[in-house]
Amino acid sequence: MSSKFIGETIVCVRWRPPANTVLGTTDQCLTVSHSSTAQSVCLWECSKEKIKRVAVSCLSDKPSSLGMVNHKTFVVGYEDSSDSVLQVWAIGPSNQLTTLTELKTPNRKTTQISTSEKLVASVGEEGHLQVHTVQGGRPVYAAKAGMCLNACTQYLGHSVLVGSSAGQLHCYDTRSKDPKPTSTMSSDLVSILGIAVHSTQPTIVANSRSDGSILIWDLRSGSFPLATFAGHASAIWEVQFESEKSDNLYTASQDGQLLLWNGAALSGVGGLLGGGGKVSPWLTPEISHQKMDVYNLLGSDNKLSVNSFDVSKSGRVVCGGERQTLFCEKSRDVMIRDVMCR
Amino acid sequence: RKSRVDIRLPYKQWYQRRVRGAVNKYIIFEGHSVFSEIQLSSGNDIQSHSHAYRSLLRAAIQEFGDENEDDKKIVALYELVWSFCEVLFVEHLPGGCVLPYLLELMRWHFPQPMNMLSEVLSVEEPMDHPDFWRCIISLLLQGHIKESIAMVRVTPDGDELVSLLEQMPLLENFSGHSLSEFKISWSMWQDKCKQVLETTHFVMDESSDILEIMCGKLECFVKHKDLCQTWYHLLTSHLLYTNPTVSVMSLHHAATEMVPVYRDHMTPLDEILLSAMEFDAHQVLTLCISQFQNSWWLAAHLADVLHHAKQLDCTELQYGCSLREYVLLHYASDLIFSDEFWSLGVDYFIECKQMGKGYLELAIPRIPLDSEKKATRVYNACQKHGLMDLAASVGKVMAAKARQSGNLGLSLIWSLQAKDLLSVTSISEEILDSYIETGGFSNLEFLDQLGSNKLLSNRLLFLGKYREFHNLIKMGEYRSAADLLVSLVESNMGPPRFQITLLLDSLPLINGGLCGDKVVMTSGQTHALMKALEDMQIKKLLKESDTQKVETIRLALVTNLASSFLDEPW
Repeated sequence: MSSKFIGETIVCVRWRPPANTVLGTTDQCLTVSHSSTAQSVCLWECSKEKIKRVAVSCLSDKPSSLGMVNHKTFVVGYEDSSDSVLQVWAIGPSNQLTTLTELKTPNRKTTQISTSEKLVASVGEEGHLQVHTVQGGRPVYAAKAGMCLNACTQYLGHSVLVGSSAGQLHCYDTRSKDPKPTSTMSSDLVSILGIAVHSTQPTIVANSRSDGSILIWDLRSGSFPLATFAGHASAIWEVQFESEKSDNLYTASQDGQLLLWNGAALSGVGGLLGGGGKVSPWLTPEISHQKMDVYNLLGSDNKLSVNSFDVSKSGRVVCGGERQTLFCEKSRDVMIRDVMCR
Repeated sequence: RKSRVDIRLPYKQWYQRRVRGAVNKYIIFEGHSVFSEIQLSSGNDIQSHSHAYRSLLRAAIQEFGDENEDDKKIVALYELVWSFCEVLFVEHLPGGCVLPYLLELMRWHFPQPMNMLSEVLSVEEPMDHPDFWRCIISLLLQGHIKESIAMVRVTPDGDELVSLLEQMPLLENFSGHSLSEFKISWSMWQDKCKQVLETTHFVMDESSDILEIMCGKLECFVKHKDLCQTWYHLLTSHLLYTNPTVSVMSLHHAATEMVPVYRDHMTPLDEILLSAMEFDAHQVLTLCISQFQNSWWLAAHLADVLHHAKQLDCTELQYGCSLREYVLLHYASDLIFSDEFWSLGVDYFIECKQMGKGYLELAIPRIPLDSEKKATRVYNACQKHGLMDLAASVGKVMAAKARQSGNLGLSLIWSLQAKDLLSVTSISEEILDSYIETGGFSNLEFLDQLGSNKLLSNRLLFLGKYREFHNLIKMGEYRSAADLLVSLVESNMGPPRFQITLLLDSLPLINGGLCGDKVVMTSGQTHALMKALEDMQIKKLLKESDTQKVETIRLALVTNLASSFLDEPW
């Protein structure tokens, strides 16, 4: 992994979507970060050899989350925003970062944002879910869960999955007017910190939790999780399924590890067509993670929390956290040779 | 606990918002990484960890730009102190020869000779460059023999000097042979140089200067002291031409001759280096603490390395702990009050076996818990190190915060995590009270998932079972609901004021209620409920406003009793 010490604690990092979404690749990523004196949003160029900063802009408050809408627009949520807003930013043609508009939310303390091309969903500690369109204006959908919400993910274009501190996974339909969830999946009282939806089989959902465990749900049979297994020694902040080799699961945790759960090797699923392979290993109840290889992408010398990461379409990983360093995989093939098996 | 020890946290640092530059932050993080590795490997292979510290210091100097010049200068001093301490205390030198190490150190810290060389060579006629002779001398002083040969070749006396220089035995070329062989060939070479000095007459005065240096004549070295700049450079250069196989033990003696040369330019740093040469680890650390006042970084990490290299004795200071722990405690106190470094501070405190926990008990409750995520972080950090009481205290603070903002559910969850029975009981009662007022549980479905947490408090268990009762009614399981209700009434687990609500809840189960004509409650159960009602009247638990309710309940129970008699077999 190539690394760059940036001097600020990285709160959230996301790859910048390429201008051409079908064929393009991306080399740039955005971070929101803060130190004891300042907070900023930066655009980085991650080439094979090194990481270089391309643009930087100051933020008014401590950021808590970041979501990329498209190649030119992104949204920043704040840890304690005095105006209770999310800010929508634009990336100009010469990479300048400027604010566009603000989205009003009932949450003063936003915990996570989930963005897609059209919608911005945000959740916060006060327990509100709010869905806006990127242009702003009145919210498209609003609901109150009454419990601190830590994670949200957009799903199938019109639904939002939301995770709470009480260990409940709620599913809301943004097209309806009903502020109640369409379904709720409960497990024991462990706070859900991250949600990931399998990219080719969207009924498979992974939850990462504050005690370091991972839950796999099949949304079709929602009363019990398919599997619960101990992933890390400490809270897992973010979890993601890879978009191409969709059986690969990544988790980033407070114990300083960024783990790759190599499910793709078991199922042989990959590529655009995907079919003809075996069943996704995440669906089998005994969870073949016991036969699954787990790689620690950051090496064992990192002990400080990895707060955020992102996996690009080509499978390249960028991450950062308390160590105030941005790590980026040099390239996909190098990664497989470099990692250590757990 | 020792009574004579008074743990005082440096509270003033709590208010000082220290702004640290990028270089300092870098060495703090990287230093923590190496420190953790050392503790994990319990001090094995301390040499490679010491090298890791040096390379991180060098990387810090090289990677950061010009705006950090002051910080970089200080880090360069750290590197110098560290290198000396490493070679004297930690490093296993091949053959015991310290000179190659010192030469490399001087070349890294004083790059001027090589810079001068490239300057001089860039002009057409190097010999005309004003710095030409100075350049040759400075190259020689740093042991760059090949480069100096190339320069000397173009001088009028070049041939003589070049032949001598080419014959100079160098340690790096002698790896296969024994040290005594090297010593012999080296003294033979120097005798030859001295002979040439006596007999030959040189065209240029500077050439005899060069030869005097090669013969190790101290006066000539002193003449060029400005090229060495410091006594340790002079020491290294002089040793190169007087005693290249010098061992670590003899360094101090040699140093005492060099120090007076630079008497006017002594800095506090020099005392540190001299104490190191005397192998006085204790003094080295004491001086580091006093000289680098703003930062305990050097003292803390150096003390740890010296401790693991068994060079620092573990006697207790009057403070109540060993010197290593003393410095670590102060370094960690620096870190724990900072938003960015508190987790590092915790790791350092944990390594202070005697007093670390005491400090942590004072410091962790002062970490501001700005958000749920931060609280989770602190809670998990406490759990990781086994500080269960502190973790519970974090839970209690967050529970109180949530309760203040009206979020009873979140408050309950934090109280359960903190295993705070009083709080759990009190929140359960508040939830029950709000049920009495609003008639519903808003957003508290997670109460169905309590699991074994229910057993923590009677009230919580009651709350859980009460919700179960409601769920049973929703699902239409009236018989089981009735059984549960009667057991709840009889157990008196709920708050006394809730009994009347429970009895009111029996109304839907009575003949004519939800279950239509079927009789759900047996006569025994009805009797139990009636008795409970009587008990409440005897104990004067009923209020004036409740009389209507009591009438309704009594009527319903009696009706049910009648129906149940008809229904039950004799």
